[in-house]
Amino acid sequence: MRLLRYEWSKLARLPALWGVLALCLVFNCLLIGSGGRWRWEWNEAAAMTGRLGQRVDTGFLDGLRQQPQSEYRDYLLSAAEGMTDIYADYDLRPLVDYYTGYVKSSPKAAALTERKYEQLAERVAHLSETGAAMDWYSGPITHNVHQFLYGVLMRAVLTEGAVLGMLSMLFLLGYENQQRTAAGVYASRTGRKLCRWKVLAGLTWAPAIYLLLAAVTLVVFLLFWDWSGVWGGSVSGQFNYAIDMLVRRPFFTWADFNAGGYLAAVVGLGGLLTVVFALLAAVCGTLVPNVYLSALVLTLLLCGGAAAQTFCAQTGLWMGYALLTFQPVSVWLYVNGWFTELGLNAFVPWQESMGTGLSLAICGVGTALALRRFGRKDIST
Amino acid sequence: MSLFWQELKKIWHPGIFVGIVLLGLIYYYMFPGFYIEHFSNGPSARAEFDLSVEWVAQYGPTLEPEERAELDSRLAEEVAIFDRQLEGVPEAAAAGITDYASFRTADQTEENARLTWDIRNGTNCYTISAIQQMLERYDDPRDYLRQHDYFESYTAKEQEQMLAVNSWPGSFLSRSVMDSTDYYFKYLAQWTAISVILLLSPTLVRDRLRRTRSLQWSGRRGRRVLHTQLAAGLVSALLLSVVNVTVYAIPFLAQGPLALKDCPLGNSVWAVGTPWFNWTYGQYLAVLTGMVLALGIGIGAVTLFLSRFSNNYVSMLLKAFPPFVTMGGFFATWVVHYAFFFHAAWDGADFFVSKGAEAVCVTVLLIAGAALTGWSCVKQRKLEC
Repeated sequence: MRLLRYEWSKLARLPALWGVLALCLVFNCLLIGSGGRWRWEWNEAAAMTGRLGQRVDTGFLDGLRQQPQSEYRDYLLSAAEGMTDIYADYDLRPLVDYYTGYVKSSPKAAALTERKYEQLAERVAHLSETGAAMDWYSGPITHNVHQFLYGVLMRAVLTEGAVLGMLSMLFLLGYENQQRTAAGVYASRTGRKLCRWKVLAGLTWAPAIYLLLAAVTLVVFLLFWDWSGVWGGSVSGQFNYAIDMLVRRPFFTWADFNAGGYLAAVVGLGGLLTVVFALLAAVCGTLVPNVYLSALVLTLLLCGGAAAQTFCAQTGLWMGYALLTFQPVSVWLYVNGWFTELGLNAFVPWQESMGTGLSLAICGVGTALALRRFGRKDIST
Repeated sequence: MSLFWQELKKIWHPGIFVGIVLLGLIYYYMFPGFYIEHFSNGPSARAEFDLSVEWVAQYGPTLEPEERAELDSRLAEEVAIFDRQLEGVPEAAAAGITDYASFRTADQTEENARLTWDIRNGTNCYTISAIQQMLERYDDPRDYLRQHDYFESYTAKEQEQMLAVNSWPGSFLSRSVMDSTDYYFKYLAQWTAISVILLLSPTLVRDRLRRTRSLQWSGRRGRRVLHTQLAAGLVSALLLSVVNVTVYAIPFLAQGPLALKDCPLGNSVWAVGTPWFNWTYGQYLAVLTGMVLALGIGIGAVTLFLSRFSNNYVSMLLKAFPPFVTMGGFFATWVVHYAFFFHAAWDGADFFVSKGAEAVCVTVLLIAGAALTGWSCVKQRKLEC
């Protein structure tokens, strides 16, 4: 534990890290400001419906009618009156045909897609039973604000957390070489075990930084956006929808999520994904002694994975594409649709969770092997 | 001079160079490669480009009023070709589509949508549409006074400039070529910024980590060694930018945009925007290239400054992260996006980019870079070893 504390203190005494962290927070505040065009509408809807609950029923409609008359109240009222249970007769066949049409050159990928939508049909029936479609969330502006929060803000937080986490890990693993203490520290068997503590320190530091970024950003966001009455509303309400490859579909989630639970789940999975990125950095940092080169190798690994996925899609290698959608970069790319069916970005239910879990396991094994190799190789400084 | 070459050798470290080349290949495949594969994206844009090239060869870079009448007969020829091509589609006659006029009528409705789609893609339909739109545009030039929001955002002098563009001879510069140029240069500028940051980030950190400062300072050149190091860094930034521009230019020029090099930017017969300057497309390409090179040097200078004040690679990478995002992600693409044209500062912005603002921004970057590197040199003299 003492070694762990020493490693953390090395990171804590890195001024550039805190400077960049502050800049990231400033950038996130600017991003929050850029969503101003939806803020008035969201806050106005929240103010009118905050005390009416999330389920749109006669009580909700009566409550809305009793609000002071205004053009926007009338707009919300007409939207609420037009709500129906969209899941009652929702036909998934067009979606199935659309996506299987893309991957039909690979029978296995097509079968996976078919199977995913079969399982989604059960979810649609369940959502109809629970009446999730009739949840208000926060009215007609829901899709824009939901996408702004998860597609812009959470994506930025996750990116910043992952980058800072990876660089922190590389810093710790390259520290002894840079300080010219490697020859002394790594000369003994016990000294070489220090690397394990470094990896452990990096793995705890990365999600901590990410959570700090997420907490401050979300607090600032919630200071300007009124979410007080919406936490209990289902994210599968009919005003929330997702668009993939120009096709619009309801926000089908694989479990019943309310707005609060969904935010917590996204933040939580983001933390695990940050650990995955930190583990990747640990592998590169352990195998490549030069920190700058290991950062370049890591960048190549991440960008190369994304390029390989694009290549598979362009050449019709859909099974290869399906496997590559599990990689961490791919999971990061579709953060705004986590826990939903994700269209062509997913081939099994809960793909983002499975992808993150698999990446954790693979990168964990990779890190263990890299540390083992480091423990046995000759010292080079 | 030998010190300069030694510094260059240190900067162009084989491992880093290979890493940048591989990243560059991935970047090219993921982003700008699309604009080469789909240069003049879509059949309509392709038809427009082909007509532009053909007419430039026939009439020169501009369309004079006396040449306008000839285009009517060209349109009639294309329509006759279409009618002959239509005879090869038996389903067309069955659906009552026997000539171009009946095709246009059928195209207005959803009925026979599949058939009209097939006809459009199997005939010279896009060429006819392009000629028709171009003639309509030429005969009824744009009326800025009708575009209130856009026009009124500018000062009286700027409005005068916009109106003056209308009096220029009608240029054959194709909109599709301008779009491809715009996207391609945005990616080139972005990659130049990224690659220069990656190349120069470790430059001065390396010496610090190897503790060579005391050795360098006690040498004959003394503390002025930093001048040579900065010069080598700036030359490397320029060199890498030149390499980037050259590598990007080869596939781009192979698509044939230089056929339109003498076409003026303004008052195009196609829907190209309104430029601030009376340049030809060839001159515009040269100006954009110059801007990318200047960007490379400016960003290189800022990177060297950050590298000078970093104790280790991670500290440098952390410091490079903000310029990476701001310069690579935003500034580099913004500054070449329809540069020197009248356009809004960004999508949905209420204010518009003024005359030469892009050049001013790049100049400010160069001045800032020069000031920061100069300050590093001054500070070097006073530092304790």
